[in-house]
Amino acid sequence: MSADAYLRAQFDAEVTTAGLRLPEREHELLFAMWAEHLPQREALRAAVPAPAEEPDA
Amino acid sequence: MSGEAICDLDLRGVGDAVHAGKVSSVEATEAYLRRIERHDGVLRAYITVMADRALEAAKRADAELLQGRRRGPLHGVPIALKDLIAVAGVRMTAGSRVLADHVAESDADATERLHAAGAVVLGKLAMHEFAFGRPVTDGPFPTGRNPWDVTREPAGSSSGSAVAVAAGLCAGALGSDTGGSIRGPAARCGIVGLKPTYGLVSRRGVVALSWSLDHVGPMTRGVHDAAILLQAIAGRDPGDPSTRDARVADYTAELEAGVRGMKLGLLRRFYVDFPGLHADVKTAALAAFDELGRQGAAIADADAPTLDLAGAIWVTFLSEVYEFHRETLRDRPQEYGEGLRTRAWMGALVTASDFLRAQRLRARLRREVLGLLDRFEALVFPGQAVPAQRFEDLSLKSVIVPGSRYTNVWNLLGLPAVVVPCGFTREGLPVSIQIVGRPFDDATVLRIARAYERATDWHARRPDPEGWKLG
Repeated sequence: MSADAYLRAQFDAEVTTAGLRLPEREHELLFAMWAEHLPQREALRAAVPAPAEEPDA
Repeated sequence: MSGEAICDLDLRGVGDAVHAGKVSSVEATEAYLRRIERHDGVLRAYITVMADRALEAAKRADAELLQGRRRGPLHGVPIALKDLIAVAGVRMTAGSRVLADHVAESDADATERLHAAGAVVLGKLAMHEFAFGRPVTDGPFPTGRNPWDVTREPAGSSSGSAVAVAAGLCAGALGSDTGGSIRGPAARCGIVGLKPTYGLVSRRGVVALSWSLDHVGPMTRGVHDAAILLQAIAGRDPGDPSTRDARVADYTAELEAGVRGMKLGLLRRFYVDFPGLHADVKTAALAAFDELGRQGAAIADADAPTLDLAGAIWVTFLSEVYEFHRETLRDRPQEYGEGLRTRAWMGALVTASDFLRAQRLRARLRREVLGLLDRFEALVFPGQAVPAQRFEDLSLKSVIVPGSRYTNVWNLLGLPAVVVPCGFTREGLPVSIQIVGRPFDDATVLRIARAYERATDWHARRPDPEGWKLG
């Protein structure tokens, strides 16, 4: 599976898990936003807080 | 005093003129209503003009003055509100067809306080849909045009507030700021915009976008005006628990005290060295920091490493937006504009663990920045990445507005943040600096902003109404 196809499959799975059923045009717009935002999400997941770091109130 | 002369004044000037009897509140209100009638067909700052109510309020203000009663500096002064701040009995749309027929049952806390201060509410101002949609020039809720160049957007989401103040269609306005919605349009329209400390101004009666990030604040032609409006709307409100620790100061008492001896931290790496910073904004901002230095402030570079994660922490916003709209999105998606609807869906793709990770990093960012604010009275940096953009150059595909790093960090931390004009680009578009202070030390950020403002004349420049034509 190519990187693009993998990305698309990952997105489609997340949309299904979230229970979203969108018209095709919005599905594509959301994919573009999601793909653009992916580096931010990866940065979030890669920044592992210390065990003592609690959530903001 | 002529109508044009009234509308050219700042808020304090209008209040002083009414107090001195140079103009009545009714005359001032009529002058603004005429100017709205003349120019708002192009500028589109207003969604609802409350002419009859405004004139009634102005008559009451004049009658009280005749009886020797002046409520304060806002007495009889015509102002306007972003159309997500409730006025009892008046339509409140939040710029959306979802609320097109919604009439507010009661005043927002901020509205109550403005009425108590004697202000005259002229109307409800245009905005991006639910403070998160896209700028539009057509449809039922156009978001307004920039008075410095009507082919450009005024930025948002408090677009109408910025347009109305910059164009003299009201003496001052309230906006709301969740990721920069006061400061962005204020910066691009050449006015002052203050996002107060989170919890200083009640959100009761204000349509929510993101509960932990929403702030209500003033948008004005000058810093003193912002202090006057903040004084009127700040304070605890049992209807908004986030205000339970609000500490209200006298926001004009030290306004002219200057910056001599102050230590200011310049967030150079994250903001000044950001490759997306427009060259003209950078030049003007650095000149402004030099001016603060000449006035006696000690400016040194400052940094917080977790600033780099602010964009990642912003999933907080996406989650809260989606949670607020999820039922309506499911049941009546067609009533939203595409720009908001698609971006709101992004929040459905944020996992609970991502959200909590963001809150843990948000706490880390807060510790780092509060540590900086132990060493510095305030932090300074350019107020925006770029000047106002042409409508056709705006991207519809980004979930996060480019350049929002200049503003949204300070919503995550709830710190007071003000933008003040610091010049113009070579194309004649306004640019600004931003000043951020300690929690509930809004008075100090206003004092620094005023120290800069009084050394310059950027705030006194006005856009030319001759340019308010289309095609």
